[in-house]
Amino acid sequence: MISKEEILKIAKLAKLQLNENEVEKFFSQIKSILSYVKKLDEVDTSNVIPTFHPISDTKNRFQVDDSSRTFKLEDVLKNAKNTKNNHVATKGVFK
Amino acid sequence: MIADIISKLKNKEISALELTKSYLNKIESENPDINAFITVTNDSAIKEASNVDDLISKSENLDELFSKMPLLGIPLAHKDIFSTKDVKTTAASKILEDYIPVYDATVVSKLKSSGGISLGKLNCDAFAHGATGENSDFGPTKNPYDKSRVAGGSSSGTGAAVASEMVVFATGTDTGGSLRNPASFTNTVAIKPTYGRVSRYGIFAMSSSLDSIGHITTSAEDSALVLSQTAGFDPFDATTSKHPVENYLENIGADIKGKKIGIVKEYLSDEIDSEILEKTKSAINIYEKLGAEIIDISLPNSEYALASYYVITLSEVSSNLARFDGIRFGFDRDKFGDEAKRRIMIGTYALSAGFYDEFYVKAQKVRTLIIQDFKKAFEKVDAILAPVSPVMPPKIGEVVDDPMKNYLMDILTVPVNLAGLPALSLPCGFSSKGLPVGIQLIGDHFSEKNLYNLGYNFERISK
Repeated sequence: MISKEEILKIAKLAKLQLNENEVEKFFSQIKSILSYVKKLDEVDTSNVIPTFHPISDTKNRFQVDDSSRTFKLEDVLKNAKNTKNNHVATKGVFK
Repeated sequence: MIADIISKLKNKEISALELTKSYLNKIESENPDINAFITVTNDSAIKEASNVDDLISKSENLDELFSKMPLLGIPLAHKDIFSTKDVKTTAASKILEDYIPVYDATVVSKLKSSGGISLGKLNCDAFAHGATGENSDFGPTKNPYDKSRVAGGSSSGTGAAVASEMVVFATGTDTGGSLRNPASFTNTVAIKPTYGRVSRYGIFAMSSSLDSIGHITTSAEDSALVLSQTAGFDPFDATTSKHPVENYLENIGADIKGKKIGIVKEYLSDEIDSEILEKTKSAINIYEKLGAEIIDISLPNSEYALASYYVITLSEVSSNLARFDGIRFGFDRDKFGDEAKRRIMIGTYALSAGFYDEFYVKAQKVRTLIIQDFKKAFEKVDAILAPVSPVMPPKIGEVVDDPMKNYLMDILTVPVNLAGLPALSLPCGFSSKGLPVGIQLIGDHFSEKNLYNLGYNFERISK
């Protein structure tokens, strides 16, 4: 099954910082959940198409190109922790 | 209840302000203990109620006014994952403790247009993850029928607020049972509409192919009235259906003689609490008394529904919670609670390279088989009757350290979400310890009118 190394790798992918205690605790809980869902291997799905969407009456819905409905800039920035020059400010990704 | 209140408002027996104030007083006295509300919007509620009284006093044709605004003056509240403009919306999570939306969810604005008065935001499991309400970062909501026990989840505040008369009705979401579970634990009525029947716009997405927007009321008739206001196509939610919205109240009390009710043998296993099974059997008897035909059916892939559900929901949750970057809104991701972190981890794993086919695609294939089981069943029956919860409401703290135990509480509710079907959960009496028990009626896609008809008749006899 899943290993502690994999847990740390996934945490990194999901941008979650886990401490030692959390890794321990989650490791056993996650293992038990994953072993439960392994049940699905019992089902023969050889000729079955997956269902990603339960209702089929929606297909390729495009939004009308209408610029009248928009948010004011101040509203858009209202909940950002850091803003600068009418932009959301964040840590640089380039060194 | 709503019809009675409307009639009192029309006859001027009570004013909207008196009505709203009486509910706000109930909140003030009960909520410190029950913890159903995270935010109470006293000032705006009072202001809106005064405006309603103004409208009523100036109206030359009250019938016409109430026909345009069928919920005029009715106190309600929203689960705290519904965006409410200028009112703090936390998802019951510390990550969004200071988040204030700049727009209303479609359902919020629809209920406003119908005249409803929101009294505040309701507690729930954080990000709607849970079946007991204990995953809230603001403390669990207590069950008004036994305060040492949970109110159910994830729409815990929704159920408790309606049950303890803090509001006339309340909104919530049902992704794997999150309306039906708290309703069955709090002796109230819940509707989980067909997927796509009610707009999800402005409501924090949990699991995008499963989320269903509904509400809790004290009667089937009230539920039908509220759904008539929230249902319908919304250009802002590309998954809403253009299927016409029926008149749910028309002939709601019509005779149900000859209607076929299916009983699923896989749902009545001995893993379910014996008192719950007993109450389900009494519900079957009631339907027989009403003239319905009871038909035994089988949904052979039922035992795989929970596993399929959890792979799908955890995968979709990990994707939907990626937006909480602490940059555009909210706090840093380390403020996520344990359950959110767990779900993100498992979901990320299930979607990652090398595991995507094994987990996510496999689960969606099993989902297809579960949907086929239901479609075959609905060729034979008009609705399926089943219990909602396999267990009575647990004591607070009883299942919180065991995620699997928590997940297993959803075993009877998740199949409905996988298939996108509608379900109506109704109170079905009390256990020997005085705890509420609920049953659910499951229908084919867009058969809410039929469910309400069956539910209304059930209430007539069981109440």
